[in-house]
Amino acid sequence: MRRSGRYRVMSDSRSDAELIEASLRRPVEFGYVFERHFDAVFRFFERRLGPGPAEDLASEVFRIAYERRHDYQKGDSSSCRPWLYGISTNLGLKERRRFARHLAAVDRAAHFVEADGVDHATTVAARVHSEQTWTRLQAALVTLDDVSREMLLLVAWEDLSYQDVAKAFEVPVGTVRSRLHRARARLRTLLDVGNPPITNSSIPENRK
Amino acid sequence: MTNEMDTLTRHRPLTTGPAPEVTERASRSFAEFLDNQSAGTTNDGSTHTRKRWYRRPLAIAGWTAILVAAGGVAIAVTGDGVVYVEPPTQITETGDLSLVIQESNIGPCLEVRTDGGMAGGCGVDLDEPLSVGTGGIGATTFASGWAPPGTAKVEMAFPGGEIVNVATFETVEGYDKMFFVVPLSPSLGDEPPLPLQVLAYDHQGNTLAMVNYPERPDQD
Repeated sequence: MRRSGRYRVMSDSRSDAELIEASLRRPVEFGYVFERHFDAVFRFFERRLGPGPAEDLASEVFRIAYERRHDYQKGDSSSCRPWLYGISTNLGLKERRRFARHLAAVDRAAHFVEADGVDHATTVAARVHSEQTWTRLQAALVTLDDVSREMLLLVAWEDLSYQDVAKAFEVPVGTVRSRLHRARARLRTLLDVGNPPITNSSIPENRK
Repeated sequence: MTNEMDTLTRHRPLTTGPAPEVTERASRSFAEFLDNQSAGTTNDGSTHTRKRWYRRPLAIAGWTAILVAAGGVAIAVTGDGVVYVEPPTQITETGDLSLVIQESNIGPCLEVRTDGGMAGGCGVDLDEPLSVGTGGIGATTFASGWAPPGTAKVEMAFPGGEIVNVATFETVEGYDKMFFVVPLSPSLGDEPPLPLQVLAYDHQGNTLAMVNYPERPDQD
């Protein structure tokens, strides 16, 4: 800090809704919304598209959010992150091809975390299994319809509740439940196709 | 959560998050965007052309302080890498404003706190005999700083001619200064400027110290 000067605001206890409402009169207040959520929105795009495109897209999300701040629901004391994810999702859907390419390029090994106290053979087997699962997941994700896939990913990757997903998509929570129910069934099927369940007949006689 | 959802979560692509320079660049760019939006917007709906400043809060890199017990001393690491090495000491409380001083690895931190948040900075140079900072937390704006021992009044002359006087000071053990915090009038704006001149007087009206600040509308 300079010897003298304007102070930097270090924290602000106002809710997101209060900040957004204040930004209707003082646009600068929206800066705090940016500061709170830029990292999360960046990671949203980083997961789907990699760090390169994430910077521009995350910035674009906040510009769009600022323009739409009049539509944000007053009195909502919870985080505005689902709302930002909703905008992010719409923006990300324009990048479908890049999404598929990025998923294919993601280091599969990075998705396997070794457990302590596990022997080498088990570790290798588990790693191979993890890589195979990731491959099946990639294939499954790109076959789901856009809305269902994004709803699934908001729950699984961004830790949103069904209520939050409903906010993100501006639909009733019942709609989210039914879509996710179908999407999960579809995902389960797609995963099982590449990984047939072990039946009694597939187990060698000497292992039964 | 069912198996397929567990599988999906377990295979969530790893992220590193934005690099500091990315955050800084995006923050600056968005600040300029907001500055442009601000031109022409006022509380009463009238228009103006004054360029607003926007300051990146420390919270960007995680003002979520990490509290660590170390030899009985609370240490907090801020997003800017500042480590508090002493517990905070409240200097004074004026209305909703409280002024707090706290030692850190880069020098004293002087902070103004309200129910709505806190503002301040670390590494302040207390060798300066007289110093003032201005700021705002939400709708509350203030000036704070310190004056030399023996000060009875501080007079601040703001751009536009407004004079703000301070007559209440507090001392803190270990610091050879008289500290103050004072709310500012809304007429000085949402982001009050620095005063052009600050004078510290003793009880006899003698000038103990004086400091002039150049007018810098876009100072950050």
